[in-house]
Amino acid sequence: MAGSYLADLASQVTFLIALTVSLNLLLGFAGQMSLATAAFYGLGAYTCAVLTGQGASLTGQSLFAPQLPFVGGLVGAVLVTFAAGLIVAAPAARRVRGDYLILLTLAFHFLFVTVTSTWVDLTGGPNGMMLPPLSLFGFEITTTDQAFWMVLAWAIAVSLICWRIGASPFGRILRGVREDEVALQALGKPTVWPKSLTFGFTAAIAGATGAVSAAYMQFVAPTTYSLDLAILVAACVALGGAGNIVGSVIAAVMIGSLRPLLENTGLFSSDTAVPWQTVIYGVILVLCMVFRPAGLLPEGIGFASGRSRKTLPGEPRNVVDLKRTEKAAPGSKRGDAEIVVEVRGLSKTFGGLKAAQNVSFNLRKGEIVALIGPNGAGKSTIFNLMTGAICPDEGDVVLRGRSILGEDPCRVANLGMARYFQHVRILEGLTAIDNVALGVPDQAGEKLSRVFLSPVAVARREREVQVEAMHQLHNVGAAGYAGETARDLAFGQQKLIAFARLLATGADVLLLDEPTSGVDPRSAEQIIELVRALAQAGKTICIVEHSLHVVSELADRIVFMDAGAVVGEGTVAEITGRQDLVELYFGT
Amino acid sequence: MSPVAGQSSPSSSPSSYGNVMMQLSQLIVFGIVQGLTYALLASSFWIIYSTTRTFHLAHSLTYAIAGYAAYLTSEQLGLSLWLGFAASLICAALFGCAIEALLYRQLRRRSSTVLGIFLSSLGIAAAGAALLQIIFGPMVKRVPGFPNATLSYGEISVTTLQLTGALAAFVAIGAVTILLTRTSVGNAVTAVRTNPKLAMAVGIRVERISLLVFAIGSAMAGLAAYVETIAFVAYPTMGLQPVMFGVIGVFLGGAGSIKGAALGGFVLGFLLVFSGLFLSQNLGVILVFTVLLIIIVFRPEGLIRSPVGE
Repeated sequence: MAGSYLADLASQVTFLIALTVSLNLLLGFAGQMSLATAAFYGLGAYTCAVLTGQGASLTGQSLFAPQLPFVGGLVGAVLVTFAAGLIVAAPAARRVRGDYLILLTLAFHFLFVTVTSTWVDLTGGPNGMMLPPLSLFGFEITTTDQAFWMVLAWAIAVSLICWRIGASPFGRILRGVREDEVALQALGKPTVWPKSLTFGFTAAIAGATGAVSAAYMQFVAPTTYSLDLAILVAACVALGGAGNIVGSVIAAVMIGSLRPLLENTGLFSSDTAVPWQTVIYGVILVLCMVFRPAGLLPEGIGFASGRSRKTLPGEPRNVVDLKRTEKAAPGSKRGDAEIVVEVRGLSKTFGGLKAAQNVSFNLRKGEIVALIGPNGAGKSTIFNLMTGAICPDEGDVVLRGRSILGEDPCRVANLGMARYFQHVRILEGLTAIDNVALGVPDQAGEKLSRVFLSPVAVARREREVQVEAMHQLHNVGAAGYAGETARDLAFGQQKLIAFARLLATGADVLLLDEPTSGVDPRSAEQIIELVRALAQAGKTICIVEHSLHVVSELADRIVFMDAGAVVGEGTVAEITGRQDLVELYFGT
Repeated sequence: MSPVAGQSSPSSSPSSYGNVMMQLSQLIVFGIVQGLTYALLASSFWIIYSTTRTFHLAHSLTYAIAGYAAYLTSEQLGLSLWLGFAASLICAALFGCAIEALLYRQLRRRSSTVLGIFLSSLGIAAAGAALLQIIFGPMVKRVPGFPNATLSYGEISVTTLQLTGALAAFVAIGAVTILLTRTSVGNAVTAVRTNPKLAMAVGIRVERISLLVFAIGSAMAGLAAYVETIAFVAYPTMGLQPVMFGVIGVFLGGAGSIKGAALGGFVLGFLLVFSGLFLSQNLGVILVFTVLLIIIVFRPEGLIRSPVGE
């Protein structure tokens, strides 16, 4: 292609921008380590080449070629890579994570390279294949300058789209996936589809970029799509800052300009500039990981959470605000309130360990039931069984007359039974308010399509979500650090935020696993007050606690467990009156 | 390393039953040779990965460095092949230790994420290979001089180099297995692998154990690299594919024990050689990836389940 050398260089950098920005969604936001970037990029390029090619390889061999116009090739590339992304995501989204994902995407890369260099009839093999000159809607693009503007427009569009996704509630879900999927599911947010969709979407952008680049260069060959390219793009994401789209653009421009700079300073010939570029970005990547692991522009700088901090709505409403029903006398409540949850004969065996044996109890509306017993009695296991985190061998869990056996934690949370984890499971990299906002159900912006198709409705709902999240932070007395990153907060503060998050789900059955353990006495009192107020407001509460102080303060009824079985049930006075149980609890 | 080094030509159509048996025996011999090589690589990656939780992709650079060490010693300096062998192992071990002490340890102390450690490893692998190319040029390097001979037993033939390599791999895996299971140092390694915090609590010096496994794993990779360099050539990215197959072997067999890792590597090598009987070499590679995918999805703990590890 004729035209200026500078425009050609700028186009190369622009391709890198598009790849980096889209990978940031997957790697930076969703935390999914993919090394398949080059493979998706190449897959798009090859799809376009095959669909638009003239049907002859460099060696004159005739190839399969429908000879579509460029737009056809582009659409084909998007479809093929989107599908490929979903296929790679299929195992990744459900069971495969971490190191397995690296291996999986690496294997996909090698598979792609092997196929392209082997399937000579389709791809022209190691020699590659030619594409016709680029033309768009009948308009011939003949110079590199014209092509550059087209490529630039594409990169800007991709950057804006990715930035929009990152800043949307969907982006918030992705960041939640990166931090802790289990916690997210327990809040009633599905994680599998957002992850798969992001895989497909990232792949499709890489594929479309590949199609444009192939048409631009009018040539594809397997060596272009090397693992080095995948590493380069991942390096740009890490350098720019995972979860920061602007950072990605800056890093891509910097790293992409390295080679032309090296070549044109006269220090290196064009042969040695390539390895030197690799050495330099490799070293920068390592130094960055050691000294500035969050990257040049860390997440949240400049964008994303900047806005949410300004809109701090909501009067500081107090816990008392929750009090909608008057507290009934403790005695009269038992027995006549509506039964919300029935646990019927739950049993679970792990190997030889009987973690739960025929456990049955009921939870009534407005009642606080404490599940107590020595360590290893199976209390947390019961919570796991109730929320569907593990499946019982026998028994049933009935929520408002409906069996929820076999439902996953996400569905159980949406049905109104939410769980507070013993180990908090706060989403460390997110701000306090983002943590709580993830608890709010029914968010329009959590559907990727609606982010783009009905932005007004998404924005309106997002304002409501922010108000609700802030309100819940006020409720627990944590509004003061709404904008702080959860990682930087003290454990007690994190517990309060986890509580606000739980309340935000609007669930009316709350399973609390040691909400006051490891918390300073003042925060503990705060939590006790909160739990009491919640019960008075009509929530159904089951609490696992070790502190007898907390239990006697709160519990209407106690279920005593030992070695996986219920050994006693009654009021605090009844249980503390039984010598055998007291001995069991404190040890003899 | 060519995945099916020295494979017999599958095109010669067997004319009789005896011929088929001959060909089969030949393939079994090659399968064992290839399988042991990959078992060695898988074990070398496994001992580092399982003990330190580091996805050490820069292992491929260790491999290449060992290859170039052999070239420098035996070819450039004109010293004996034995010295080249020693240089390979020592350089590999030193490089592995250096990267652990200077990079991974620092990252862990700064509580870097798994992703951060992996990306640094990638950075080292990419930069190192490029640096080798800058220093030694892109041309492949040969180290001739091994008294290679073809041993024939009927129709079955195997070169002395293949035999030596396979034997060395077997001995190395056996030695490391004995080290891990029979010695107090091995117990310490197992303790760190199972629970680093608890190991530290009972007085095991975790950072020294990490250094040790990097030395052992890297030297094992160095052994494989030496054999390849002697048999074929050394080049900057020579480590990428063998290490990739080693990693696949680990996950194929099961990351819970050295038995699993070595078996996975062995099965992988065997599979590659046998697929050569009726598939082209590249299709064999595709077959391996397919098997890997199936294992990852349906049996993520690998072929061998193990109580230790996840």
